[in-house]
Amino acid sequence: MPMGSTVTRDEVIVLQKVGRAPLRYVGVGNRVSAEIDLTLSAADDLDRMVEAIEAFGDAEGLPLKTVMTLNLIFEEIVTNVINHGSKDGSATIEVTALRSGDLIEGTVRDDGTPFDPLARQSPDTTASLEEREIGGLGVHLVRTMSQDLHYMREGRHNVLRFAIGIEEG
Amino acid sequence: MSDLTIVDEKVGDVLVVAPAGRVDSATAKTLETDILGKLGAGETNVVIDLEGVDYISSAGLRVILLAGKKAKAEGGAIRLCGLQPTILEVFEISGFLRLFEVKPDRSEAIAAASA
Repeated sequence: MPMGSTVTRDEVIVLQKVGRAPLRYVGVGNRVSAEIDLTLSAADDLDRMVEAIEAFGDAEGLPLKTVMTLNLIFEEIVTNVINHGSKDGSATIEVTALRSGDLIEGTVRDDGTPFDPLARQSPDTTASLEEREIGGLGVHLVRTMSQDLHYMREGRHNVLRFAIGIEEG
Repeated sequence: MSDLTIVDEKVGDVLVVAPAGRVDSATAKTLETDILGKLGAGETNVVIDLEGVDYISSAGLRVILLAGKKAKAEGGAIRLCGLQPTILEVFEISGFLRLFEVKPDRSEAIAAASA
Protein backbone atom coordinates (compact mmCIF):
# COMPACT_ATOMS: atom_id res chain seq x y z
CA MET A 1 0.00 0.00 0.00
CA PRO A 2 1.41 3.46 -0.85
CA MET A 3 2.69 5.34 2.16
CA GLY A 4 0.16 7.61 3.73
CA SER A 5 -2.85 6.36 1.83
CA THR A 6 -5.93 5.27 3.68
CA VAL A 7 -7.64 2.12 2.59
CA THR A 8 -10.86 0.84 4.04
CA ARG A 9 -11.43 -2.86 4.20
CA ASP A 10 -14.11 -2.51 1.49
CA GLU A 11 -11.44 -1.66 -1.05
CA VAL A 12 -9.48 -4.80 -0.44
CA ILE A 13 -9.80 -7.31 -3.23
CA VAL A 14 -9.58 -10.91 -2.18
CA LEU A 15 -7.41 -12.60 -4.79
CA GLN A 16 -7.40 -16.10 -3.47
CA LYS A 17 -9.24 -17.98 -0.78
CA VAL A 18 -9.77 -21.60 -1.55
CA GLY A 19 -11.49 -24.03 0.79
CA ARG A 20 -9.61 -24.44 4.06
CA ALA A 21 -6.52 -22.61 2.79
CA PRO A 22 -5.13 -20.77 5.81
CA LEU A 23 -3.94 -17.71 3.92
CA ARG A 24 -5.69 -15.35 1.62
CA TYR A 25 -3.97 -12.90 -0.63
CA VAL A 26 -5.36 -9.42 -0.97
CA GLY A 27 -4.49 -6.67 -3.40
CA VAL A 28 -4.55 -3.07 -2.27
CA GLY A 29 -3.35 -0.61 -4.89
CA ASN A 30 -0.28 -2.21 -6.42
CA ARG A 31 0.63 -4.30 -3.40
CA VAL A 32 -0.42 -7.84 -2.71
CA SER A 33 -0.34 -8.93 0.90
CA ALA A 34 -1.09 -12.14 2.71
CA GLU A 35 -3.50 -12.49 5.60
CA ILE A 36 -4.17 -15.41 7.91
CA ASP A 37 -7.80 -16.48 7.67
CA LEU A 38 -8.21 -19.79 9.45
CA THR A 39 -11.11 -21.57 11.05
CA LEU A 40 -10.31 -24.24 13.62
CA SER A 41 -12.59 -26.46 15.60
CA ALA A 42 -11.75 -26.84 19.26
CA ALA A 43 -10.99 -30.49 18.68
CA ASP A 44 -8.40 -29.74 15.97
CA ASP A 45 -4.75 -30.00 16.68
CA LEU A 46 -2.87 -26.77 16.20
CA ASP A 47 -0.62 -27.92 13.36
CA ARG A 48 -2.70 -26.12 10.75
CA MET A 49 -2.43 -22.91 12.73
CA VAL A 50 1.35 -23.24 13.00
CA GLU A 51 1.54 -23.86 9.24
CA ALA A 52 -0.63 -20.81 8.54
CA ILE A 53 1.49 -18.57 10.76
CA GLU A 54 4.72 -19.77 9.13
CA ALA A 55 3.25 -19.30 5.64
CA PHE A 56 2.11 -15.81 6.63
CA GLY A 57 5.59 -15.00 7.96
CA ASP A 58 7.17 -16.20 4.69
CA ALA A 59 4.70 -14.30 2.49
CA GLU A 60 5.14 -11.07 4.44
CA GLY A 61 8.91 -11.49 4.96
CA LEU A 62 8.55 -11.23 8.72
CA PRO A 63 11.54 -11.67 11.06
CA LEU A 64 11.65 -15.08 12.79
CA LYS A 65 11.20 -13.45 16.16
CA THR A 66 7.95 -11.81 15.08
CA VAL A 67 6.69 -15.13 13.70
CA MET A 68 7.54 -16.82 17.01
CA THR A 69 5.78 -14.14 19.04
CA LEU A 70 2.69 -14.32 16.83
CA ASN A 71 2.70 -18.11 17.13
CA LEU A 72 3.06 -17.96 20.91
CA ILE A 73 0.23 -15.46 21.38
CA PHE A 74 -2.13 -17.37 19.10
CA GLU A 75 -1.28 -20.69 20.77
CA GLU A 76 -1.93 -19.31 24.24
CA ILE A 77 -5.23 -17.71 23.28
CA VAL A 78 -6.51 -20.66 21.26
CA THR A 79 -5.55 -23.26 23.89
CA ASN A 80 -7.33 -21.09 26.45
CA VAL A 81 -10.48 -21.21 24.35
CA ILE A 82 -10.13 -24.98 23.95
CA ASN A 83 -9.52 -25.54 27.68
CA HIS A 84 -11.92 -23.03 29.20
CA GLY A 85 -14.35 -21.67 26.64
CA SER A 86 -15.29 -24.89 24.90
CA LYS A 87 -15.77 -27.59 27.48
CA ASP A 88 -17.54 -29.91 25.06
CA GLY A 89 -15.01 -29.23 22.28
CA SER A 90 -17.64 -27.89 19.91
CA ALA A 91 -16.49 -24.29 19.57
CA THR A 92 -15.45 -22.88 16.22
CA ILE A 93 -12.40 -20.66 16.47
CA GLU A 94 -11.55 -18.11 13.80
CA VAL A 95 -7.95 -16.92 13.71
CA THR A 96 -7.04 -13.91 11.59
CA ALA A 97 -3.93 -11.80 11.22
CA LEU A 98 -2.86 -9.07 8.87
CA ARG A 99 -0.03 -6.62 8.57
CA SER A 100 -0.77 -2.97 9.21
CA GLY A 101 2.36 -0.88 8.71
CA ASP A 102 4.87 -1.91 11.37
CA LEU A 103 2.32 -3.96 13.28
CA ILE A 104 0.67 -7.33 12.93
CA GLU A 105 -2.94 -7.20 14.05
CA GLY A 106 -4.41 -10.47 15.25
CA THR A 107 -7.87 -11.62 16.24
CA VAL A 108 -9.22 -14.80 17.80
CA ARG A 109 -13.00 -15.12 17.63
CA ASP A 110 -14.89 -18.10 19.02
CA ASP A 111 -18.46 -19.17 19.66
CA GLY A 112 -17.70 -20.94 22.93
CA THR A 113 -19.11 -20.04 26.33
CA PRO A 114 -18.48 -16.44 27.42
CA PHE A 115 -14.91 -16.34 28.71
CA ASP A 116 -12.63 -13.38 29.25
CA PRO A 117 -9.08 -14.73 29.61
CA LEU A 118 -7.85 -11.27 30.63
CA ALA A 119 -9.93 -11.42 33.80
CA ARG A 120 -7.31 -13.77 35.22
CA GLN A 121 -4.51 -12.14 37.17
CA SER A 122 -0.94 -12.77 36.13
CA PRO A 123 1.01 -15.10 38.42
CA ASP A 124 3.42 -13.57 40.91
CA THR A 125 6.62 -13.85 38.86
CA THR A 126 8.68 -12.95 41.93
CA ALA A 127 7.50 -15.96 43.96
CA SER A 128 9.97 -18.65 45.01
CA LEU A 129 10.07 -22.05 43.32
CA GLU A 130 8.10 -23.67 46.17
CA GLU A 131 5.43 -20.96 46.18
CA ARG A 132 5.19 -20.31 42.48
CA GLU A 133 1.73 -21.21 41.13
CA ILE A 134 1.61 -23.50 38.11
CA GLY A 135 -1.03 -21.83 35.94
CA GLY A 136 -1.71 -18.44 34.43
CA LEU A 137 1.53 -18.12 32.51
CA GLY A 138 -0.07 -18.19 29.06
CA VAL A 139 -2.17 -15.09 29.62
CA HIS A 140 0.80 -13.41 31.29
CA LEU A 141 2.92 -14.03 28.17
CA VAL A 142 0.14 -12.71 25.92
CA ARG A 143 -0.24 -9.57 28.06
CA THR A 144 3.48 -8.89 28.11
CA MET A 145 4.27 -9.62 24.47
CA SER A 146 1.31 -7.88 22.81
CA GLN A 147 -0.10 -4.40 22.67
CA ASP A 148 -3.64 -3.06 22.34
CA LEU A 149 -4.91 -6.31 23.85
CA HIS A 150 -8.60 -6.36 24.57
CA TYR A 151 -11.49 -8.76 24.98
CA MET A 152 -15.06 -8.18 23.89
CA ARG A 153 -18.18 -10.29 23.94
CA GLU A 154 -19.84 -9.64 20.58
CA GLY A 155 -23.24 -11.32 20.34
CA ARG A 156 -22.51 -15.01 20.83
CA HIS A 157 -18.79 -14.65 20.20
CA ASN A 158 -15.74 -14.05 22.35
CA VAL A 159 -13.37 -11.75 20.50
CA LEU A 160 -9.79 -11.12 21.57
CA ARG A 161 -7.78 -8.58 19.60
CA PHE A 162 -4.12 -7.69 19.87
CA ALA A 163 -1.23 -6.23 17.94
CA ILE A 164 2.49 -6.97 17.96
CA GLY A 165 5.37 -4.89 16.67
CA ILE A 166 7.51 -6.32 13.87
CA GLU A 167 10.82 -6.99 15.57
CA GLU A 168 14.13 -8.23 14.25
CA GLY A 169 15.93 -10.74 16.43
CA MET B 1 5.22 -29.94 12.35
CA SER B 2 4.98 -30.03 16.12
CA ASP B 3 8.05 -32.19 16.46
CA LEU B 4 9.97 -32.74 19.64
CA THR B 5 12.80 -35.19 20.18
CA ILE B 6 14.52 -35.75 23.51
CA VAL B 7 18.05 -37.07 24.00
CA ASP B 8 19.34 -37.91 27.48
CA GLU B 9 22.93 -38.17 28.59
CA LYS B 10 24.34 -39.15 31.98
CA VAL B 11 27.53 -37.34 32.98
CA GLY B 12 28.72 -38.51 36.38
CA ASP B 13 25.67 -38.14 38.62
CA VAL B 14 24.18 -35.41 36.44
CA LEU B 15 21.39 -36.26 34.01
CA VAL B 16 21.31 -34.02 30.93
CA VAL B 17 17.96 -33.88 29.15
CA ALA B 18 18.14 -32.25 25.72
CA PRO B 19 14.80 -31.63 24.01
CA ALA B 20 14.99 -30.42 20.42
CA GLY B 21 12.29 -28.80 18.33
CA ARG B 22 9.07 -27.21 19.56
CA VAL B 23 7.81 -27.47 23.12
CA ASP B 24 4.18 -26.47 22.68
CA SER B 25 0.74 -27.62 23.76
CA ALA B 26 1.01 -30.59 21.38
CA THR B 27 4.43 -31.83 22.54
CA ALA B 28 4.74 -30.71 26.17
CA LYS B 29 3.23 -33.98 27.39
CA THR B 30 6.16 -35.89 25.85
CA LEU B 31 8.63 -33.74 27.77
CA GLU B 32 6.57 -34.03 30.96
CA THR B 33 6.51 -37.84 30.78
CA ASP B 34 10.24 -37.96 30.11
CA ILE B 35 11.48 -35.53 32.76
CA LEU B 36 9.02 -36.38 35.53
CA GLY B 37 9.69 -40.06 34.83
CA LYS B 38 13.43 -39.53 35.30
CA LEU B 39 12.86 -37.53 38.49
CA GLY B 40 10.56 -40.26 39.75
CA ALA B 41 13.30 -42.81 39.08
CA GLY B 42 15.64 -40.94 41.39
CA GLU B 43 17.45 -38.52 39.08
CA THR B 44 17.33 -35.23 40.97
CA ASN B 45 20.44 -33.53 39.64
CA VAL B 46 19.24 -32.55 36.18
CA VAL B 47 20.40 -30.19 33.44
CA ILE B 48 17.87 -29.30 30.75
CA ASP B 49 19.83 -28.28 27.65
CA LEU B 50 17.50 -26.13 25.52
CA GLU B 51 19.96 -25.41 22.72
CA GLY B 52 17.84 -27.30 20.19
CA VAL B 53 14.56 -25.71 21.26
CA ASP B 54 13.38 -22.93 18.97
CA TYR B 55 9.90 -22.48 20.42
CA ILE B 56 8.36 -22.84 23.85
CA SER B 57 4.90 -21.88 25.05
CA SER B 58 3.34 -21.90 28.51
CA ALA B 59 2.61 -25.62 28.12
CA GLY B 60 6.36 -26.26 28.05
CA LEU B 61 7.12 -23.74 30.80
CA ARG B 62 4.62 -25.56 33.00
CA VAL B 63 6.60 -28.82 32.62
CA ILE B 64 9.87 -27.11 33.55
CA LEU B 65 8.23 -25.51 36.58
CA LEU B 66 6.75 -28.85 37.71
CA ALA B 67 10.13 -30.52 37.25
CA GLY B 68 11.87 -27.75 39.20
CA LYS B 69 9.45 -28.08 42.11
CA LYS B 70 9.77 -31.86 42.16
CA ALA B 71 13.58 -31.81 41.99
CA LYS B 72 13.80 -29.27 44.79
CA ALA B 73 11.37 -31.21 46.97
CA GLU B 74 13.69 -34.20 46.62
CA GLY B 75 16.78 -32.22 47.50
CA GLY B 76 18.03 -31.76 43.94
CA ALA B 77 17.84 -29.06 41.32
CA ILE B 78 17.06 -28.42 37.67
CA ARG B 79 19.60 -26.27 35.84
CA LEU B 80 19.06 -24.83 32.39
CA CYS B 81 21.46 -24.08 29.55
CA GLY B 82 21.64 -23.26 25.86
CA LEU B 83 18.69 -20.85 25.74
CA GLN B 84 18.36 -19.07 22.39
CA PRO B 85 17.69 -15.31 22.71
CA THR B 86 13.97 -15.62 21.93
CA ILE B 87 13.61 -18.49 24.40
CA LEU B 88 15.58 -16.55 27.01
CA GLU B 89 13.12 -13.67 26.63
CA VAL B 90 10.16 -15.98 27.25
CA PHE B 91 11.87 -17.34 30.40
CA GLU B 92 12.65 -13.81 31.56
CA ILE B 93 9.05 -12.64 31.11
CA SER B 94 7.87 -15.72 32.98
CA GLY B 95 10.11 -14.94 35.95
CA PHE B 96 11.92 -18.26 35.48
CA LEU B 97 15.40 -16.73 35.49
CA ARG B 98 15.01 -16.23 39.23
CA LEU B 99 13.72 -19.78 39.75
CA PHE B 100 16.42 -21.64 37.84
CA GLU B 101 20.17 -21.41 37.53
CA VAL B 102 20.84 -20.69 33.85
CA LYS B 103 24.22 -21.35 32.22
CA PRO B 104 25.31 -20.47 28.68
CA ASP B 105 26.20 -24.01 27.64
CA ARG B 106 26.08 -27.63 28.67
CA SER B 107 29.63 -27.94 30.01
CA GLU B 108 29.14 -24.99 32.38
CA ALA B 109 25.80 -26.35 33.52
CA ILE B 110 27.28 -29.79 34.18
CA ALA B 111 30.19 -28.20 36.05
CA ALA B 112 27.74 -26.26 38.24
CA ALA B 113 25.62 -29.35 38.82
CA SER B 114 28.69 -31.43 39.74
CA ALA B 115 30.10 -28.89 42.21
